[in-house]
Amino acid sequence: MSKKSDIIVVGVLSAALFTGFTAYSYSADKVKAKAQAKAAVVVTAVVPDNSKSSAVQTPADTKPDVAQPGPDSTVTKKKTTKSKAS
Amino acid sequence: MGNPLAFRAMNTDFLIAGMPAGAAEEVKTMVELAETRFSRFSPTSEISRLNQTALAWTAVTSLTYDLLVDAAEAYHATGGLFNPFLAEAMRTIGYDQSFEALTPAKAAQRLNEKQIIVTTDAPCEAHQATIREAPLPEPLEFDFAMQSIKLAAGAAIDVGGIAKGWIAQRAANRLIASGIKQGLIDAGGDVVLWGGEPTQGSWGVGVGHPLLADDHDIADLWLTGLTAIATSSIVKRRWQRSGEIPAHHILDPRTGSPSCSDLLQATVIGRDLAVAEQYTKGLIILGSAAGIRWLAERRPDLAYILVRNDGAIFHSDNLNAYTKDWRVDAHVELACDNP
Repeated sequence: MSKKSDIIVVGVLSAALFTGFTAYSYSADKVKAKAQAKAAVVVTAVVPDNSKSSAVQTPADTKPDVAQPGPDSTVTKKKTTKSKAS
Repeated sequence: MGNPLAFRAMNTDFLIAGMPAGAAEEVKTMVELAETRFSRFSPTSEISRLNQTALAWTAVTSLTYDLLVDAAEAYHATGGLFNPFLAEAMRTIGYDQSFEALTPAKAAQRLNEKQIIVTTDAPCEAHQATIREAPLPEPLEFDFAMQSIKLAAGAAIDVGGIAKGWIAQRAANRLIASGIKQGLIDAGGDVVLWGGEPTQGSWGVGVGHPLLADDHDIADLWLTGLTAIATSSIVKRRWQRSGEIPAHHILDPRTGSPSCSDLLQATVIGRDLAVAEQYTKGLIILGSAAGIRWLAERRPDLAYILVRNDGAIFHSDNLNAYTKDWRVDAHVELACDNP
């Protein structure tokens, strides 16, 4: 009887261990998955940041949209001097 | 940042802006030194001394030596159209005194700048007929080791067409090399600038009306990088001796007389003020059609804005290489108070 109960105890413990292991494994996978998801988010976030910083290094792209040549493009600014014959 | 520094030297008004006060004072010192050495009207200048010692080796300071090396180089680069060795011809046509110190008799010959010459094709055709194409003589010899120069027989130096821009560019180069991030040097309307204007981000430079310099500008340029803008005109520094046709200070080296073309004014934009100044002269001499071809062959990197004697204004299609922010009028009104 006692052997039987021992077997039951062992069986229950084994079952508990198995369930616990499975639960642990599951949660570990979940954490891993979450971490991966997070990493993926981070990576996703980093890519555009990187692309931005590389864009900043390109002089042509750093220029703000400049006014097209035309009579209205310069009316609000003050000229420093003028080129003229002397 | 110091306040703009304005002063008069080399017969013109200088304006120094956008740089520390000490740097502006350094520019002024350089210009004043150049004035004492380069004037052909001052008998004690190095240029006058050279003009008195043709065919003999004469030692000069490094400033004068460098200027004349660049002047000789420009003479060849422009095919002789920029010719700073025609002082004798200038005297012959009557430009033998500084416009700043004219005697009363000379002052009476000076023409009002608003009295534009009414040009027709006829005088220019006569002028063209006198053009003599000839191999370029070598007016100077250089001895680098002795820092000496020998002037050829018949040549006489007049660096009036290069000295102001040259010294302004030299000063700008020196300041840039010493770490001055921005600045503007205006040598009587010939301007070199670099960096951005302190409050606006870019330097605003107008191009003056050929007759009414204080009125509406014919063009506006907004600039940041190292840029040089020079303007020449046949309207300034004009005179008329009794019984002769009006003369002006841009000589056609091929004829020895004042140039005659369809251009009233030429503005050249580049990276070096002395170079820009030289090419304005060539454009004025050759006129619009031949001048544009000539510039495209020799210096396609330079941009131009030209005013023709019928009021038409035209510009090169490479202005965008210097600024994305600009405007140029298409036409200028030349109505004036001709006597």
